[in-house]
Amino acid sequence: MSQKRIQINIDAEGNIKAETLGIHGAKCLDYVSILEDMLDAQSVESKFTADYAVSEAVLIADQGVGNES
Amino acid sequence: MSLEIILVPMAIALITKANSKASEKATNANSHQVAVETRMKNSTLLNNAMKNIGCTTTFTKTEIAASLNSLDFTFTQNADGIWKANFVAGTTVQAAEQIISQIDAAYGIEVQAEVLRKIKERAPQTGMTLESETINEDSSVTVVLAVNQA
Repeated sequence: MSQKRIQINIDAEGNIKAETLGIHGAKCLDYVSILEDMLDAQSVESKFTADYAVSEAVLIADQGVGNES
Repeated sequence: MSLEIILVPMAIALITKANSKASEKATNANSHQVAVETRMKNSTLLNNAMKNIGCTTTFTKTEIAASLNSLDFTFTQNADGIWKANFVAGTTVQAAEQIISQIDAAYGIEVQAEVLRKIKERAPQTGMTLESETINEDSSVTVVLAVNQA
């Protein structure tokens, strides 16, 4: 299992950009509220990367194999 | 990498910096007063920022009186908790904006430090471990948190 990480960049104006790393599919969304609470901040924008779709497809495929067995 | 999130700290109003603006109103026929709207909301960080650039500050219940380079001004907070700077009559818009720009830059650094402090203090409570901290050329700071897996 790959290590799950959160990378957070805070610029000198106080703006924050966070990225989830190695966290697949919809589980990423859990980290929006976790980061908001941890940083006392409000999310104003979030977007899935291409990796999200790949990860989600892999998860669905895995579940499909599991259901057949 | 699966999700990118842009966050704005509560200490910063949800307006773009471009929306910060100076306004000028006549106090009498010969005198105009300049006010500058800011994005700043946290009084402690604002006070620290002003002290860091050499302002003298005095807090009252409703305002912060400040002085820099012999220029006097006060900060008052609106209903949304956003601080607005009011300059004494005779101050030019340019001078007012220059001072607020200096304070805003110092405030940004205070917010950055505060966010970093919260990350270090709170990450362990949310099952994360600080793995690295890097100061970048643009003065931003990047931290990587490892999510502890059961």
